[in-house]
Amino acid sequence: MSETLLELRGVTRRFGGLAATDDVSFALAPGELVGLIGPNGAGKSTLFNLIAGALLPSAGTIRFEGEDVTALPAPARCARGIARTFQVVRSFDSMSVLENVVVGALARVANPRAARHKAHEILDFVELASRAERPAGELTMADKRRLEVAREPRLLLLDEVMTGLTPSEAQRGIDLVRAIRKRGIAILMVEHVMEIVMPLVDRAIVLDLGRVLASGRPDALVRDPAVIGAYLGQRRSSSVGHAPGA
Amino acid sequence: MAPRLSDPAPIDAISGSAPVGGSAFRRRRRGEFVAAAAILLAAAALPLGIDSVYVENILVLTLMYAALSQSWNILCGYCGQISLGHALYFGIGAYATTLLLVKFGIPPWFGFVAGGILAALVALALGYPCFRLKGHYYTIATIVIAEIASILVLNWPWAGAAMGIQIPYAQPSWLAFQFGRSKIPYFYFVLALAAVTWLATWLIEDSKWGYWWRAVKDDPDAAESLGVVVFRSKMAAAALSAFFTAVAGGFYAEFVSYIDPDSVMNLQLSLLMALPAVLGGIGTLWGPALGAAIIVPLSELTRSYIGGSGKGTDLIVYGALVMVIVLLRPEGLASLLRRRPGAAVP
Repeated sequence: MSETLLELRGVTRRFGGLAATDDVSFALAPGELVGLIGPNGAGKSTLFNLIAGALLPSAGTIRFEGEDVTALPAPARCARGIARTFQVVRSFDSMSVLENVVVGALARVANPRAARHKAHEILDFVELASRAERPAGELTMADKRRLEVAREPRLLLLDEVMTGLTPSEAQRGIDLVRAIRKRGIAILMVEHVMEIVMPLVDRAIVLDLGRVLASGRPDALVRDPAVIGAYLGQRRSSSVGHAPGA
Repeated sequence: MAPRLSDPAPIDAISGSAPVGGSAFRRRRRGEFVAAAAILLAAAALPLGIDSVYVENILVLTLMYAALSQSWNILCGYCGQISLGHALYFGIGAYATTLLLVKFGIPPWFGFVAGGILAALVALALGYPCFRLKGHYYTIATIVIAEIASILVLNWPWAGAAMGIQIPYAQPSWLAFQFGRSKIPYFYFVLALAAVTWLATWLIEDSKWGYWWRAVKDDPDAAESLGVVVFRSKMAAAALSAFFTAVAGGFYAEFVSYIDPDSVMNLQLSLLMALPAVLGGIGTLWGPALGAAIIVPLSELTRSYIGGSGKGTDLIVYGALVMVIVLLRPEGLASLLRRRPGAAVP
């Protein structure tokens, strides 16, 4: 078995003349927790869509557990163990919380009864078991975020899951991310709040203008002048950075 | 001893106390099935106490619309693809059954199945381009296609064109599906059809397709990210829905023994298939049957008591009653039956 879970090589996606993702290469090991950061428009969401299969790359290859998944559509990638959340929280509001989880479980367990059993387990894990029979539409924002991660993938893509949460909810969210990672699930997370992402991740990848600007341990990255210039500098000092904050 | 953060926790250990929520679920499912069986038995006994052909006719139509709306509900209620062109499938069933009988002497029983399969194939062929459309655009496409088909048949001499086709009289028998003046055998056939469509829906509710269709209805993009193959899900729902609709169409042709495009392929028919489900509760197990049980007798009774010379008074009253129901229960009458989820557990 290979030591690489996900491998991107030269992944490029153009929209007309604009390369939203430009020659991006990196790899994720099984169980790794990696942050994906960068200023607005850096191509983070496009990259997520490319990995999840919602978009297909213009060039480059994506391999998952050694298999070339570049051309596979989203459901096929999901079946192989890639799960993603959405920036704008999504849930099936006419269905119960449990049924929401069953939908995802059915991708791997064909039998509805077994899927329901699995869903109960997962709900227990994300601490939503008490709300299993409630309509998903009744959940609070924080609980909907928990519902979104109520799956058992090999790789979980988290797209700004802490957005819109109160500090205490965010703290519970962080605990949940840690718990998920403890189950051996690799996580790639986009997050804007540096205070959340930096202490949490093993490693961060900085994107700027569609390219990988830097990659490494969080504490090293925050001192990297290129990173400060592209991103963190906008807030910390006015001498570097593209434009003053409006 | 508290496990350290770096300890790889075995997956089973984390989910140690999975609730036994499965039993409540199974109890509810069993309850639904028992209730349906009881209703079926009660309905089967109805003709014993009725000797009015008029009432029998209403019963047959009520059950037929229950079956039709239940079929419509599969695609439109569960999978969320609102079709207002289901008259096309009804017409395919009616014409397939009738043409096979009149032109080739093939018994209607075969025609029902053949019409159903043909309609399912047509639904797949139409779904292939049309399911790329979303929301209202899909609905508009279904209306347009059904209207085009109706006009085509209207100008198709071999299929009777505007004159329609009369089913010739045959010696009463189950094989010929003719019973002289009696409506009772039709009643039992359509009761069985309604029961089968209900059973299909009941089975769907706890199947992979059932979960997937509802996910597609609520949010196709999120569904796709969870492994649901959206396009194939819609195709499967359309084929199943069209099949049952066409069987009912074939039945109707035999029941009235005369068809023309205006009676089996018009837009109003498509609306009448949707109405019971919408009124009773779209995307619910009991909604279509409940809606049909109220709306069809209501329509027939208003017509016979205040229709006729009034020139549409019956439709005004009928429309007003429908509006009252919609205003009082926008989520459908079936919601009256449902206990609050969670409150059911003792």
